[in-house]
Amino acid sequence: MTALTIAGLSCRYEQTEVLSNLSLEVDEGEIVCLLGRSGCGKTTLLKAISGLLQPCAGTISLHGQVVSSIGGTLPPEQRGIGMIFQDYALFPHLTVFHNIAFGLRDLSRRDTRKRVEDMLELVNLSGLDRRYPHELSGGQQQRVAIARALANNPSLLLLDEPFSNIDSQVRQRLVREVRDILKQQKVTGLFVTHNRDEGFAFADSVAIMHDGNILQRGHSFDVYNRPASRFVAEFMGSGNLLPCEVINSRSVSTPLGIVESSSDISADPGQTAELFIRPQMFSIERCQCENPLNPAQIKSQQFMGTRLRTEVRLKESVLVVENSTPFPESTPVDISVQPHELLLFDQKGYSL
Amino acid sequence: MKQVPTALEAQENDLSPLSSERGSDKSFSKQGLSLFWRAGSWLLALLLFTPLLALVYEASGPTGEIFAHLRNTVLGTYILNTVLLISGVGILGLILALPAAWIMANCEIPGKHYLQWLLVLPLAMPSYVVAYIYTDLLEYAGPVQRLLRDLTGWESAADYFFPDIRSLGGAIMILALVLYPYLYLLARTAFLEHSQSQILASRLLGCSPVASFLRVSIPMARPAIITGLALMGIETLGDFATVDYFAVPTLTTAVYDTWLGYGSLNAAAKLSAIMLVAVVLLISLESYSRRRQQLYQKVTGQDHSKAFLLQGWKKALAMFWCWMLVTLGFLLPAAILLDYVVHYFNDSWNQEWLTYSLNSLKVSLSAATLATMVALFLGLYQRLQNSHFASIPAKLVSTGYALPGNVLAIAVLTPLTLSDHGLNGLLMAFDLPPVGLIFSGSIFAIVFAYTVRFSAVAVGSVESSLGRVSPSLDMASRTLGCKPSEMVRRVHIPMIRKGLLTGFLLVFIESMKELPATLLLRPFGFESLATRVFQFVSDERLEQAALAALIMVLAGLVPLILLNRSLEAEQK
Repeated sequence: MTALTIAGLSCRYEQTEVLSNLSLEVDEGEIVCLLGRSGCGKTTLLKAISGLLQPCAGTISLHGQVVSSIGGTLPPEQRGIGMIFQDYALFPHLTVFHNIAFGLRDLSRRDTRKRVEDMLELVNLSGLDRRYPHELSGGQQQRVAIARALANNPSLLLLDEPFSNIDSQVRQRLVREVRDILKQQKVTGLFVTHNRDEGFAFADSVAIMHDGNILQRGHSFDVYNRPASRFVAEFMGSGNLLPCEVINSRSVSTPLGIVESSSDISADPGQTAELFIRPQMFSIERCQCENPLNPAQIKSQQFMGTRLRTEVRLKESVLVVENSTPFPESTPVDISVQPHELLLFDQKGYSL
Repeated sequence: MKQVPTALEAQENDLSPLSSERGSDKSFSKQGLSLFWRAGSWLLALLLFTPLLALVYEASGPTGEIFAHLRNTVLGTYILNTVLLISGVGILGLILALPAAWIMANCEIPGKHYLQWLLVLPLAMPSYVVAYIYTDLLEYAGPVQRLLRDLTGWESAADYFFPDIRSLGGAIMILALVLYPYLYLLARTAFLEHSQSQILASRLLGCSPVASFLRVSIPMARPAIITGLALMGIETLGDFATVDYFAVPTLTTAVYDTWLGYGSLNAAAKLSAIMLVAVVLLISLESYSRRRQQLYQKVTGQDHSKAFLLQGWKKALAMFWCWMLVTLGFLLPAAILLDYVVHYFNDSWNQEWLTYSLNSLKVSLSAATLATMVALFLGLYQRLQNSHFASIPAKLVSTGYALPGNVLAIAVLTPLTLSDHGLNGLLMAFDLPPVGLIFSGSIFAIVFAYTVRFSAVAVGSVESSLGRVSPSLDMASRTLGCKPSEMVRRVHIPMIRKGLLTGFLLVFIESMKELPATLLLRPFGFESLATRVFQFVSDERLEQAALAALIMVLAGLVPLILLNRSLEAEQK
């Protein structure tokens, strides 16, 4: 059953269209990451889902019930949605206890206390209930915010860049912890970020957002390896573009020579296209012969922590390659491409 | 309005066809702002804006005899004096304030921590009290000239030249002395925002400290300086007491003479309209300078170490300059006032002052309460509605602050007089006894004028504290199940309580000190602390009102302490 269905949604903000004809489905218990640069409309989408923004076309449904449409909007307080914010949005005038208890109503005093304590235990903050938000670290504040949102048993949890104010050492651990909590509580989550690594680590699937629309949706591994367009390919990670001509269903010819594909190419022989090659798909070796086949030279190298980022000069152009052997500058090298599932894009940047 | 689809507005759209299909207890009902909020906000704003419209209306009417006479005779002098006064105060203010601001921002001198805020204190002094005290000191029979005569053996005024303080020049000096802190505060903040590395760079490129001040600091702080000058200009324009005491005829004094002397609302309104033009000019100057402010935006990653370590005579000069300003603007007059209080305590402490204090308290508390309520109402409306359209009421209300007190008084009189006539006419038509001038002839007029004038202060206070409430708190409380009204009660109001209190206090104090509008609007026999003190100043016997004057000075210190605290918090 789908927890959230967005169909043909358009939203306007002071005259400019921020979302246009956007559709998205999130299954019960699934965590989806909306990945996009700032200004692509992520936050606007969250506002629309939470009911703070009226759509000018399309509908939003929660568990099959339409809650936003051009005809009307169910107010946020009746939607049963929880939300986590970049700035935590804790109430500074209330203690941790009262923050978490804020949305609990119709509970006896004892039940409230029990619920708050359960939540504190869930997020590993037992005993801090009397603190005020400013007495907590950023990571702790965010965990209080999560406890507050989950205390209400939301049917959908929206997370708006929740980790971007957390410093990088703590972040990775917190991302995993929060994911585990959501999975344990079987919460459906929609997570918004511009940070790929966070998205990959946190979500079951990603949706790439650009200019108020979703370009591609799928498991992050699939989106990385089978991007629908050049934009998505580049957004998911760097790569090199080479002009090529299709020879047959398994190989193309490029300035580097013939490159082989591990799967069938869906383009006719003789068709020209752009070949997108990830840096780790190259292999380079020191050139042994006098007159190398490809007159390639090492331009520069940088150690990136696990592997080397190597720039290779090939005639007029520069290729970015990832390898593990250091070379002195200007070393002549042989460069080749390992056979893999090739990414070919047409003139307009769409996948072939 | 339809171009700004916020959620709250959306909820006010008519019920969707969906709601009937859904058939649950949840509804797409009108959860948003009720008509009460929206209509209330606009009505309030228009009510407080009416005086200005009425003034423009009255001023554009046919020219009466008195104004025609003024125009043919003394109006030119009035305008010239006003222009000279404003420019003089501006220039002298620049000379006094800029070096002090620069020293405080960029140099280390002993006692800087105290000087920093002592330099603001002259703002707390009522200008007419300072004027009185300096007249006492500098006139022919005063101690300064007596000392000169004793030292030199001069016999009479004919033997030497000594400038007369009761002149345009004297008024410029006094007003510059009490108003320079506006410029000082703004310029200091601007200087502090500049990166020290910019100054260091200019030094390395061969600038002396003075050259660096003139070629780097001043140009970068220009928008702030112009804003400060505009504020000083508006305050100068609105000052009645000092020029009246020194008998310098300006537009401001002319408004009094025409209304209180000749009872001509027409002429007073026309004169006020001329002043209004001056205010508009000054405000445009200010907003024009702000338009360019983005060019000089704050540099990040600045270090706060001071660029100049002053030594020897330079240090002495810097200290002399700052202490001189503090002494002349605050310490000396305050000490003399204190001396009066001690010597004339029995004269100053009697039953009549209690009455005046209660009068002041009554009108000020009423105005502060009303202004705070207005500010809360409009601030929340703006917050909940969240559109450009919804910010208009608060902006309309804020215009009142820019009006000089006497202009405002004339502006308030126009609609109130009309209401009085209308009401009495109506009562007589039904054979009921007329009620008299219940609007324009009672303290209602004063409270209304204060509310119009000072609501801006409360609105500003509420707006800034609401601005510090992160918008995600709204989303958080809404998603946690709060209706807008509940959110206001449980989140907004508790969080802005301090801002509300500050706003209330500021309006209260401003109202306690208000003089020009009170003089014009008070009902017969009504005296406030300020009008009474001014009466004693005019009668050349401030000594007997010294206690009341001192109380007003102390009251004036409160907002400065608050201001200083918020500035220090900002620096941290």
